[in-house]
Amino acid sequence: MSQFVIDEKFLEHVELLSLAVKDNVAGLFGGNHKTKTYGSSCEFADYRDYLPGDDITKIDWNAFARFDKLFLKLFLDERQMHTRIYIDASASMGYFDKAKKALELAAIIAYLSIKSMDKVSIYYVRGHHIGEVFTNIVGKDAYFNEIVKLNDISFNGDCFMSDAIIPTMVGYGDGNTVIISDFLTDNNYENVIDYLRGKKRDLLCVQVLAAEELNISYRGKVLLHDSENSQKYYKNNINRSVLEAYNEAINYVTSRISNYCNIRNANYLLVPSDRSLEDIIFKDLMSMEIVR
Amino acid sequence: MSFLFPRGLIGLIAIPILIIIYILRNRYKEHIVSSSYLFELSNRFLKRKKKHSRYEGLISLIIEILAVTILSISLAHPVFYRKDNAENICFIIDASGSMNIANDNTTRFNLAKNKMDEIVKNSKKGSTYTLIYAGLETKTIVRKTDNKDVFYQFSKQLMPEYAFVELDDALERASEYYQSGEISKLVLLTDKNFANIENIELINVSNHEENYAIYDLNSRETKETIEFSAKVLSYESDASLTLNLFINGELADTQDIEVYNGIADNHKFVVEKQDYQKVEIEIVNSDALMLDNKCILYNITEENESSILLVSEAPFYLNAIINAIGKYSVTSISPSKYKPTDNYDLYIFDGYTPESLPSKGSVWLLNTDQNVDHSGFLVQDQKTVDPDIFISYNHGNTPLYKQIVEDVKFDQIMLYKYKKYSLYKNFTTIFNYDSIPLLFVGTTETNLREVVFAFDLHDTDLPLLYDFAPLMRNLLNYSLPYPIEDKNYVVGDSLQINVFSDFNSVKITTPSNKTSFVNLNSNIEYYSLKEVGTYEIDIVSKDIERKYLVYVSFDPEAGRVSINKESISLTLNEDAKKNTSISDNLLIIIIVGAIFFVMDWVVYSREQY
Repeated sequence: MSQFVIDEKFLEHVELLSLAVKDNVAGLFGGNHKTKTYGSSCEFADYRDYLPGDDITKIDWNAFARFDKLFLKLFLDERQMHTRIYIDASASMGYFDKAKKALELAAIIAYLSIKSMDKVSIYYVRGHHIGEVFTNIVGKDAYFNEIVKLNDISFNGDCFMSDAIIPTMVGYGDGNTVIISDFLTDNNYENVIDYLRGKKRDLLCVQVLAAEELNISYRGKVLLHDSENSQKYYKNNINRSVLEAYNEAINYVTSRISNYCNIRNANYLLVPSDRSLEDIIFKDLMSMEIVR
Repeated sequence: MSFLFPRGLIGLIAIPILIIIYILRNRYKEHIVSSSYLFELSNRFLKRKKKHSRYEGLISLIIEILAVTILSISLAHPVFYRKDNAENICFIIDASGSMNIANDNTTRFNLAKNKMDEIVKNSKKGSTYTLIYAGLETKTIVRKTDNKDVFYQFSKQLMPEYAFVELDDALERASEYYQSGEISKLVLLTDKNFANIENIELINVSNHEENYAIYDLNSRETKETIEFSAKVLSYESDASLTLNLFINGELADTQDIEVYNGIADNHKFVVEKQDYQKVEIEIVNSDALMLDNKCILYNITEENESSILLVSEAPFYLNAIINAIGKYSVTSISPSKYKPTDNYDLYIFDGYTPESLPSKGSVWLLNTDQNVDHSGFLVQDQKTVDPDIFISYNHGNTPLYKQIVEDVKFDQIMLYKYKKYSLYKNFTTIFNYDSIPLLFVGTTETNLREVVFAFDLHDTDLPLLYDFAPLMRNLLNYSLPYPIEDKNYVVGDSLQINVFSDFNSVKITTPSNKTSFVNLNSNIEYYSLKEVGTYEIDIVSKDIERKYLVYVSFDPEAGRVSINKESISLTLNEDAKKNTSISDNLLIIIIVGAIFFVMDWVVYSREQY
């Protein structure tokens, strides 16, 4: 079990940031996210002719004075979104400091959503199922009460992302979905990307890889046991050509998910576990306009 | 090829270490990884599975071994000799006694000379030759000559010694020549064996010929018999030998004995007591060296019985010890009966001070309480010492001190009373108390040998101690010297001649009939004995002419062909390469070594990418 501690100073730094939502939003309750429909926010959107039965408080009397015709002022609608965060809780995530980085990221993204008066749910994915860390929390008090539950996640076993998420009910176009995983698997994760994009949800796939995985230090003859499956092992002499092949395998794994996300208009971010949260939020996510 | 610094080859120890590291590294190390997925996936991207990739570690090991080998060799600094080049050859010819051993009528020494001449004959034009003679004295006979005839001429004149010879001096001298670059090759001609040889070409001329030796002939008389004993040694094998005893030239006895290889055993003949001048024991069996097959003993003491006048009131201790030693004629009188005389060889004044010293002979003064002219000391005071206090011997290093304390155990001596003398001549003090000399020896102003005891023998426990007998014997030997020391001589020893004041001349005739006269400037003269056989020493004094015969035997050590030293070597420095025919390929070796190191680094870097 990886322990992480919320850095409240860092939360203060991100106080002015918020999570962007690109697609139409379909929240039921008022929130901070402007929709493409007209609503009751303060932000002016357009004029239309007055129709009987319209709210007379919305009539633009200045326009009436100028044109001698009743116009109704239209404002953008603002809705509350639902941010769903899925954390890969397989054994491979428990090695090195990947789990800690995943939990920190989940906590920060959740905070950015909470600040936008969105609902936040965090799930962990293990095997073919998902588990709830907490769901539908709104407001900072609830956030600070619930976020510590992230430390209750244990990392073991395998992870089948599609099998676990698709059967669950996710709202249509009502906000962001973030999947945090190392994606070191041949198991199908393309289906869940298709499914979530099909639901018109903004999707961010965060691939967390340990620095030790990106630059392995093993040399010579090694026998490597897989943490997720005791039957699996790798036996070889790690020399230059094997290292080259390994680097190509890394490229393959990262390109595979990156390309798929591109095709499906989803966002993808590779996070080495030794990269700082500041860099991830202020450089990576801001440059991708996921945070603004 | 040879090495200048063979210790550099110690670096080769690194090779087994490399192999051990290789074996340890070659074992699979187990780890648990987060996911083996990436590693399994990498198999797909292996460009080509090279068959030799599994041998990469082995290739690396081979290169490392080669690199270490080259490094070690370059540290050892190999030098190569080109066969077709002229050489600066230095010969060391061993002239020790064993080189006299003959095989098929050719001695080892002559065989060595023949081999040496053959090398010179076959050497390339332009070669130079140096010849070092390793005898009792190391001599450079020829130095860097390129004239072969000159070399032959000098080598022809060389003869072996009859003594044991160490080769150290000769090797050291050759080393100097080597260091200066004067010589490039050293050839040692000897019959010795060495375990290790570095930078030296050894030519062993020994054929392990049979050789026996007899030496160290002594006599011991009892009331009715005389026992003659000698050591017999066989150098090469166990042997059954026959010994003949000749007394005054006539065969007196024969004995068959067994001797074991390399072990010197004492063998005795016991005969009826009789007068003899010459006793000879010989090994009847023939061998490769006849020089050491006989040993002769001449009776010197018969010619030299000394007379002692003992003047004492209580001569008990002195009489007892002199009679026990046994070879002197002692006349003991009380002080009241003493009249000055010159008829004795030694005068012992015990508790009595004569008015004057005798004009010749030696003198002992014990506990004298009055000054005597020309004695070399003055009487100052008489002291009584606390009985608990012991006196100890001095620590001297002079030949005289060593002669007086020979066989002495240095017991602590208790003394109750002594006299304080002040010395105004140079004496050798044997023991003292609180810097006051109590027993000292030297010569008087009239050049008489003098022994002074500053105490009465009754006031000390000295006569009761072990040391008393050897000390008195040594003092008597000092005071009554024979012109010639009666001992067994071997070649290489020095003959000690005690020169008396009445000597006119001392002539020495060697076994090969060479004569020489001894310089009579000092009390003791030494003559170096270099030949095996009987030396005649003719001493002419004022009154008479005396002849002494001394037999000098072959040095038994010289017959041994095995040597204690396990190895001999010659060291060479950088300068020594100049002006020699040595080909120095160190630079090439270093370059090759560097290439191997670079190769190893490339392979390592490739592996460790």
